[in-house]
Amino acid sequence: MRKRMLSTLLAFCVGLSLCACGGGGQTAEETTAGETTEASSEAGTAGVNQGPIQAQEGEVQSDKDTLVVAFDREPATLDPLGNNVTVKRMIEGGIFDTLLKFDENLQPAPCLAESWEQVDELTWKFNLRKDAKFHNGDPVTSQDVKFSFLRVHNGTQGNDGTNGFDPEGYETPDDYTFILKTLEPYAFTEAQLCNQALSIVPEKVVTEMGDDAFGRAPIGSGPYKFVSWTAGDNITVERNDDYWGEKSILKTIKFRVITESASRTIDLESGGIDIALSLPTTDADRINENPDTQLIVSTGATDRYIAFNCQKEIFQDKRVRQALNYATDKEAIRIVCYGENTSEPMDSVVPSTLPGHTSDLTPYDYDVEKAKALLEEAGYGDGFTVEFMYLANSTNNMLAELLQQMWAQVNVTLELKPTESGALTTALNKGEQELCCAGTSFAIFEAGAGLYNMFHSDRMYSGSARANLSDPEVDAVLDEITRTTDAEARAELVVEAQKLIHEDSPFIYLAFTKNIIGAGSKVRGFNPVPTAMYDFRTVYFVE
Amino acid sequence: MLKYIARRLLMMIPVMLGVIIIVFTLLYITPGDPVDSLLGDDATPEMAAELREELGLNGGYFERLGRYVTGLLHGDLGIDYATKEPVMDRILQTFPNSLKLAGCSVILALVLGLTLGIISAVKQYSAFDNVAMALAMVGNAMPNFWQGLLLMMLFALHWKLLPASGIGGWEYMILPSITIGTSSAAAIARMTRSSMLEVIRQDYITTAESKGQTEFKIIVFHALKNALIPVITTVGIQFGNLLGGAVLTESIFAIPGVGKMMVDAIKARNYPTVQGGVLMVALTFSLVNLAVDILYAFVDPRIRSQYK
Amino acid sequence: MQKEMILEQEEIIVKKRSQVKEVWRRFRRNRQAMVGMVMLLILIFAAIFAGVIAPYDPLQQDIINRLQPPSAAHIFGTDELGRDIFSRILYGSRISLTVGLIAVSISSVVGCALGAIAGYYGGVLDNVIMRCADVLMAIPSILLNISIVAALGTGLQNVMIAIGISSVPAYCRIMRASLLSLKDQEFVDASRAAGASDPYIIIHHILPNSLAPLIVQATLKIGGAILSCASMSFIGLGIVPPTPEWGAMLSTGRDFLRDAPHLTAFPGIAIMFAVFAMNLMGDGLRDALDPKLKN
Repeated sequence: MRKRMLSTLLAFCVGLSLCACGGGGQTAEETTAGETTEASSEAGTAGVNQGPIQAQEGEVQSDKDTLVVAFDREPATLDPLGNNVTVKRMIEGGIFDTLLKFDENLQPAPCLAESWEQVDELTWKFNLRKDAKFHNGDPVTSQDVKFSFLRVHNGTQGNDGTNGFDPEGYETPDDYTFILKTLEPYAFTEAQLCNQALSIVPEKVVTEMGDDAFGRAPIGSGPYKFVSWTAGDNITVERNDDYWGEKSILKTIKFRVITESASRTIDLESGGIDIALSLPTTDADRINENPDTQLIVSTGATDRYIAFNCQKEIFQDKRVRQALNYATDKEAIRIVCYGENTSEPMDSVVPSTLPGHTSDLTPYDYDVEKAKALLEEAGYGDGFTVEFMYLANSTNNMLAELLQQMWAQVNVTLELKPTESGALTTALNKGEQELCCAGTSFAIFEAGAGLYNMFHSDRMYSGSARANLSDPEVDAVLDEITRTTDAEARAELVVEAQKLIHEDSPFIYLAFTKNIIGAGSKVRGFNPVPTAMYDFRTVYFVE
Repeated sequence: MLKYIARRLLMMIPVMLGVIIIVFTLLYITPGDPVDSLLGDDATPEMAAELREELGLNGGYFERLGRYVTGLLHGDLGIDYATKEPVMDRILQTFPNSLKLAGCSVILALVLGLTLGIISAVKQYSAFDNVAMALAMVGNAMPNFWQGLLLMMLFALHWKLLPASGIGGWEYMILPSITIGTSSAAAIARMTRSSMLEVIRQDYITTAESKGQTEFKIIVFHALKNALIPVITTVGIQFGNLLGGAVLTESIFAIPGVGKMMVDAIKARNYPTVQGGVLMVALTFSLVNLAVDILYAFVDPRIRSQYK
Repeated sequence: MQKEMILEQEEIIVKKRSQVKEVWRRFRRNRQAMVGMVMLLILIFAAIFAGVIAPYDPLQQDIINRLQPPSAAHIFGTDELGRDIFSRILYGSRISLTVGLIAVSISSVVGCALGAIAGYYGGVLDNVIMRCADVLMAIPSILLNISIVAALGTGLQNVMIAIGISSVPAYCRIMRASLLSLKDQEFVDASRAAGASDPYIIIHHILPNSLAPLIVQATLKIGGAILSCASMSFIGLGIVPPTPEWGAMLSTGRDFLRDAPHLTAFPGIAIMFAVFAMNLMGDGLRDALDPKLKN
């Protein structure tokens, strides 16, 4: 039953979005960061909020109507054209609408498109709703949709929102009809349309303001209007009273940037903020026990792993990769670095919450003897020295120190190279590292597209493919997935891909990390949606 | 006097040029490509090349340096790579916060430091002297970020007296100011004390004393005035340093100051913002120093005569 | 002539000895300075005998016993990986003293050399060197440290270089100032007339006479260097783990600030202890070396 549901879900998933947060840098460092990411789903820890926070009987709604949400990193721009950063996309989700939108069950549901149909294998037709207006009062037309799509095609920022679509194929027969063509039969069309990267922007306004100015004062058709942006401190949005759909209960939402996680927690506990995103794992228990706060933990679609650079000579040998996999006590690392209750053991590269996930892989259990034997077989019985390059932060430091001690037992000397984000991203993009650690968030819930970005040899040395794997068999399956529009068939292919990848051992699986959110005890109606694109329309306070 | 100021201002030009060259060179040899921080994970090498071209990252060391300096001469600090705003705008957004923080903490340091220093000097080797000096030095010896977090826990979380972090009214500045101010207060107290001890022992104080003036008047009119010079120097340097150097305090208390902006920019290899920011901070630092030197003239007539 | 010189030198040496005695006498009478010295001796003792005193290997992890509060087995408790904090603090004293000493050595040697050249030769050279010093002064030291470490890469060595470079100007200025006041004095002229070379004069006549402010500055800066190193760890540009450096321990500990405060408390106190000791010593030396404060 579960499997069946999962396969249905598969149809509605979009590409992989890498996110994570490190220091103060930009997206590209994200893949390599070791801190928390936002992405959540139904499962969770006992005794902790997992679904929407419901009002208890007898509670009265308070008239407080400003919500303060704190997060860890300021986006550089709110132009949807920019790259995928979870928080950026979340704020954009309030300001902009997309053609389709995931519903509670992760199925594409109508948003700006009232209805849609697949005309033929390559062609899709969308009927836009007529009552949608941008914040400046202009109606949302098919012209704006076309403009928004072409903008992504022509963008030079690495936004993959229009992957697979034909830039010549957009048609606007009338103001409220939009036609889209894909280049080949494409599996992820509907899911991609739910991605905030394809937010619909007003053509007139963007043309007048210019891209850069628009990104700092965006206008969309979403449930919130942009109000102000105090650089480094907060972005404020306000309820759009003319919104065509469900309107926000609260009038104002203030998104505050608090980089230091310790400060973010203290501010939540002292009542300065109402909702704190990406709390450190170490604070979870206290937030849960504190009567002034509530903890919301949910399993996200986020992997934490160590990636061997398969192009480096020493790691070209599969046996070496497997040996080091055996030499690593993954469970110890998970508990120390990602928290026993705030993460789950990682048994496959596809997160357990995603369709196509399989638990049938034979894990590389911690086994020093087996590791030694494999190294001996590969000709490294006397061990070797290898360099571990990682983003310098305390979680990653712990991971590195643990790993160093574990691998010493198989005579492998691990040299640590903590690196700051700017240098790290460039080095990784060039494939200079021997070994790195990374976190990948399948934030838009598509295993196939995610695996493609991580393991297809086409993607080698790109931001998502830290293992730089080159395996023709894996490539073939991943190509097949992209072409397979049938959800169930695709799920089976995803399982096959996982098996091949697991055997290759390009990664050491560390953990599926959960998303940790803290909220004040008076907050109600917050829904930790699986996409991490939290919608604050339903949130309110009680007395 | 005016001539002196003009000469000092002229001398600033080579110094600022030096700042530009040092920062530019450091950034130039720093590994890491800004393009990698800017582009999404799905960017192609072509996109990277295009963006590099657009940002003016092509060309050798001298070409790029020349381009930057030429821009500067036209009053153009460049465009922030990430937000695409003019660097000047970014500095103007963050500078007031740093200025406010630096101002508050210097005032706090002055009040605290002078008071402690004066009492300690007058009551040298008393219990108060010892305790006050020890406390001042503890403040000086504590790592800022630790002190900041502890203060936050105590005042914001435990007693709920002050906001934990962020910007807004003056109450937001209290904890960060204490965090930074205590170490300057320690230095000022120490200086006030030793300068005053020195002055108190000099003859004219004895003369004044013999003329029957009260102890308080002696301190204020004679001793303190002379003790002020090293104190002003310290305050000047502290103030200048705090404008761009309160990085840790700014990040603990989530204050969007110019220091934090620059550190973030260094991490993202956002060159124009780093260069512009450091330049502005260095310029302010030099101007503050000039102001301090001019202030000397008002405090000490002997120095005033030197400027002529 | 030659004989006279020798006599004069001997006289200077005798005078120097009595000067040192006098300084020591004043230093000894300064209670704060003595406290500082005792604290420093404790630190040096800890650094030298860390291997003997430490009950555990500072790098030995013990995941099962992680985050243990202080107890009889671990008097300072254990850290996030179950390592004994007391042992790490002891070994950490080596790192912190090394950082302090080497960073200060770099800046004082480079600074003094440049300051001496500037002051002694004057003219264009003076102008160039002092403007360079102004440039370094004008950039907030933490930003300079970050930029230098970013350029050179993380690691203890580069952190020391960065901290060293950013405090060069202070020594440069002190040295130059005392050179200007000394270089035209009679004994320098005499030495020059006797045919002594410039470096000889600087090292044998001028340096000893400008030592006082340099020593004070250096002592105070050791504390500053230890704090700077801690700041660098906070930003993630400090030493490479698993080196037990106090700043890094403090910085990692902030994630556990609330539930395991001993992770931050002990390294924090250790840093304070060291900086405090150096500051007390520096102040005491300043008082002792300043003849104007003679009682």
